[in-house]
Amino acid sequence: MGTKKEKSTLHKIIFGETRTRQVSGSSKRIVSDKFLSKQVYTKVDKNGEFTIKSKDGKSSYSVRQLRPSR
Amino acid sequence: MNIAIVSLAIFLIVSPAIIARRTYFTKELSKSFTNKNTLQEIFSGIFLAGVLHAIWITFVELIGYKIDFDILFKLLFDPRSITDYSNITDNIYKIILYFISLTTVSALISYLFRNLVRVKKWDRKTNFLRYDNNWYYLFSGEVLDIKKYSDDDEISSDDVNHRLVDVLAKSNDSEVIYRGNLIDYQLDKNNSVEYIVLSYPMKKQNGENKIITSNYFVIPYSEILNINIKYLSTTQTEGDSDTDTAE
Repeated sequence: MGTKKEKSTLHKIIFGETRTRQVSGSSKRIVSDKFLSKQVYTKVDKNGEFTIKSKDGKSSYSVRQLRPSR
Repeated sequence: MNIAIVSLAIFLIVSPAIIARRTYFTKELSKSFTNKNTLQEIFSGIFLAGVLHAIWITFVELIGYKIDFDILFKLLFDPRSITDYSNITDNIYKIILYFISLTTVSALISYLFRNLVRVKKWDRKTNFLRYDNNWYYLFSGEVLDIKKYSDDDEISSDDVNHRLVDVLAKSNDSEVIYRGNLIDYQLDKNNSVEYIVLSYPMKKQNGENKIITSNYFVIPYSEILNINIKYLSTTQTEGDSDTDTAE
């Protein structure tokens, strides 16, 4: 389990790490896996929050759609 | 000859402001700069150049140097009246140092201010500091930080690490919906989307769903009728994790 440390504000300002990545964290696995992607496509319309499992059943991911309240 | 001297002088005077502005509009927000031509950029930079020179002239005079405003104004407005250029030629290295130091300091401040604006999300909190690269805000999910789009303080762009899009596109005589993971997009020089890149898109046509096995599926914007974006937050709950922080 390797969770990277959040970089400090000063570090981001000096090194210019200001871009919001299109794909980051656990979604890297989902977007590169056909099986996981398919589950997301089919489940996202039914529920705003759901879980998907990898083909071998070893990994599972919690997915939440972010909807502003208004 | 005179026009060339005046043009060169104007360009030299405005160049620290142009470079500072170029530094400010870099990376993901570069389209605000690159859709202008050089002449437009010179006009945009005149006010900023005035401010930068006013600060730098005050600074250099405080440390003991003297600016010859007489020859400077003659150079800009009436170069023919200059009979003796010795004040310029004798101090050429000091003049070069003035411009290099001003350009370096203003570019550095501009770079740090730009990063501060982005890190502190000031561009999303105030219209004044917002860049005109709307597609970036939309595709990245940073619109969730903008009050006009979302009043909900519970969610922000920091939570978004996955974007799902439904693209309604033209295909011969019919229409097709592609659902896929948004991987990348490209803007053209007019700040419009040129194409978007999806991974493992699902094609919906005539009631049939089919996953297209492709690492990257490119849809030209000219084929797109509309786009529906869903912002997702995904976390791994079981198994080996390679989780990092969303930037």
